[in-house]
Amino acid sequence: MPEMPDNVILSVKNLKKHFPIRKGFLRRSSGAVKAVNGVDFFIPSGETLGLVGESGCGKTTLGRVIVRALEPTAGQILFRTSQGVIDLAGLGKSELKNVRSHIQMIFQDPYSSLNQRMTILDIISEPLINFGHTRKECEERVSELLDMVGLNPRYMQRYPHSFSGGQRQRIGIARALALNPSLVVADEPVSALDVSVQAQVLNLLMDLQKQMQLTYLFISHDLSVVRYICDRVAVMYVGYIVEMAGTDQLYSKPRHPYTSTLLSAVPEASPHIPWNYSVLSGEVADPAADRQGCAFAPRCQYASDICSQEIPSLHDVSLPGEDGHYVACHFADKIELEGVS
Amino acid sequence: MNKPVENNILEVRDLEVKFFSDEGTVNAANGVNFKVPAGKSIGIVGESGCGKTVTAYSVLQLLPSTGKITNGTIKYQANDGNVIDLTNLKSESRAMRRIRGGEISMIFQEPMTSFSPVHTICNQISEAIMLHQHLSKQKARLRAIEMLELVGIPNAKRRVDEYPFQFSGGMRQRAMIAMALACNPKILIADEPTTALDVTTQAQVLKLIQGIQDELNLSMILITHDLGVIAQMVDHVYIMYLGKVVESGSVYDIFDRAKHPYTRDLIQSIPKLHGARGERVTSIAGTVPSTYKLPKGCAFHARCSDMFGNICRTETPLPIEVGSDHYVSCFLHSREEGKNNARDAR
Repeated sequence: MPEMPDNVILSVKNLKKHFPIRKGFLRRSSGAVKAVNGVDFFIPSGETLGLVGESGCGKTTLGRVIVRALEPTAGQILFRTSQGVIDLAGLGKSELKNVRSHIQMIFQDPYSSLNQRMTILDIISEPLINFGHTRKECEERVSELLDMVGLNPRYMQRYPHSFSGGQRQRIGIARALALNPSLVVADEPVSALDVSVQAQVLNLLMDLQKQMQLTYLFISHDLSVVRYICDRVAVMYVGYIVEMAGTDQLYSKPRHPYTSTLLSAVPEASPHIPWNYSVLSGEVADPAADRQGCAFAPRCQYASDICSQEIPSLHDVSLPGEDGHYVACHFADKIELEGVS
Repeated sequence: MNKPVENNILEVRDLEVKFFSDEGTVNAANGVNFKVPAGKSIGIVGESGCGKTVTAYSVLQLLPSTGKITNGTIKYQANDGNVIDLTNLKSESRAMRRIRGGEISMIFQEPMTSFSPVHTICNQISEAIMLHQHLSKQKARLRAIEMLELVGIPNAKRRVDEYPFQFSGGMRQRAMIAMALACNPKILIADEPTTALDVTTQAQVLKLIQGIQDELNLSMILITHDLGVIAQMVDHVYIMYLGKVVESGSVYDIFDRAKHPYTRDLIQSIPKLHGARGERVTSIAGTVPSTYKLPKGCAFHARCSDMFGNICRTETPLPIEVGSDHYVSCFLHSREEGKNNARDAR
C-alpha cells in the first residue's frame, strides 16, 4: 500500500496527461499536447488548495484527471479513504466506482452543468440512486441538501430554468455533496456569477467546508478569490506547478517570477493602490513543444543560460519559521521579488 | 434644443429603453443619466442585466429590432461643433453611420465573435477606414498596418493578412482596438473589453487603452462589472442597478465615500488581493429581480440592509447631490428632501 503522511488526503506525484495530436490519413500520432506535464502537490485534510494559472495552463485538465474523468498518462494520484491509501491512477473501472463517492466535482458553468429536462430532485438524487439509495431516501436527503445550500426544499420539483445563476450553482454544489465526499474539486465555481452572488457562494463553500470537514481543490484564475478562500496556493504554468506555498506567504513573498508578474497584473479595487504592471513580452509557451528548460524562461527577465537548458525541479525553499514553500526556479534564492501586502 | 453641452462631449438624459417580446416588456433602462467630459473616461458599473450594455448600444443606435428608446435624449457634440440628439437619428441614416465607427466607436466584449471569421484582419480594418476616411484601398491598408503596430502586434506587415482565428485572444482584442481607433474617433465605448481575457493579457490591453487615450485625447466610456478595472482606469463612475444610475461620483467618491447601500455592499462583496485572509466578505442577499416586472419604489429595497421604512417600498428616490458632483439616489441621505423631490416629480 502506498505511503503518505497522516494529515494528507491527496498527494499527486509526477502526474502527466498528454493529448496526442493525430495527423494524416492514418491518424498517426505526431506529438502530443502536454497539458499536465509532471505535476507534484499534496493537500492536507480539511484544507483548501487553490490552483491558479492562466487559460491553457492545464489546471482544468489536472482537476479532471484527479477525479478520473480523464485517464492520466503517467504518475500517481494517492488518495486517502477510510480503507487506507489508494492510487487512483492505477484503478480499473469497477474499483473506481467505489471511490467515486469520495471525490466529487463542482463545475464552472451553472447553465450547462445541469440537465434542463430533469427536475432538481432528479438532478441531486442521481448520484444517490447510483449508489443504491431508494427513491424515498433520496427525497429526504435532497431536501436536507437543499436546506444546507440555502435553497427552499419546496422547489425540488422545479426545473433548472426557474433558478438564477447563483441558485443553479447552489444546486450543483448540493449534487456534489450528496454522497458525503471528502474531497471536492471545484473548477472555477464562481467565475460565471455576478459579484454580489459570488460572495454568497464563496461564503457557502466555506461554511460547508467547516460543517462537513471537506477538502477542496479550488481551481480558479481569479487571484483575489483564491486569496480569500484558500489555505495554500499552487501556481501553474504550461503544464507544471511553478510555485506552491501558504496563501499569505505566496502573496506577500512570491519566489517565482511568474507568480510575481501574475500578482502585479491584477487591478486592485481601490484608486489608492497604484497598478504597477510590467508587460510580459512574448506569448505563452507551446504545450506541444518538447521542454528543454523552464517554460517561463523566454518571458522571464531574470533568465540566464541554465534556464533554457535545465528543467528546474519543484523544491522546498522555505526559510526557518515558514511553512513549506516550494518553487521551481533556478534562481529562487538569488532574486528579490515583489508581492502584495 | 441645440444649446451646447459645455465641455461634455456626450450627455445622456432620462434614457429609457424597452424591449418588447411575447412574454412582456423588459425595462432595460429606466431613466439613465450620465455625461462624458471631453478627454475624460467614465465607467459604468453594474451586474448582468442592469442595462449597462443596452445603454451603450443605444448611444450607437445598435439596439436589436425588438428594443426601442422610449424616452430621453442623447446629446452628442459632433465634429462640426453642432450638438446632435442621437435619439432623433435613424439607425440606418447617413448621419448616424457617419458617427458610428467614425466619431464614436466601440470595442466589444468577445473578440472572437465580433470579427468576421471569413475576412482577413486587413479587410475588416480597412473597410472602416475606406468608408469613413474615403481613402484608397492601398492607403487604407497602410493605415491598418500602422494601427496594428500602434497596438503592439508584432510583425504587423505580415499578420495584417491573417484571419482572426490565427490571432490569440489578447491579439484579437488588440486588433479590435486598432479597428476602433483607425478612424480617429472622439469617443471610445469599451463594453467589457477584457472580461474574456487572462489577467496578464487584461493588464496589457488596459495599459494599451490607457496609453492611447492619453496620446489621442480620447473620451472613453468603460463598461464593466469589474470594480478593480474601474478603480484603475476611469475618472468618474456611474453605478447602475436595474436600469438606473443609483450613484455617481469621482472614483474616490465611490471607493472612499460610497453613499448608496448597493455601492457600499458591492465594494465590500469583492474579495481583495491585498490584506489578510480570514475576514468574511459581505454578500448581498437575494438576486437581481427580473426586468420584466420592476419592483415598486427603490429597485434595491428588497435586498437592502438599510431599508428604513415604507417610503423605500413605495416611492422612487431621485438623485441628491451629497458632494461635489457626487449624486446618490437613496432616501437614507435625505429622507425629507427625497420625499419632497419625489412628490414634486409626480
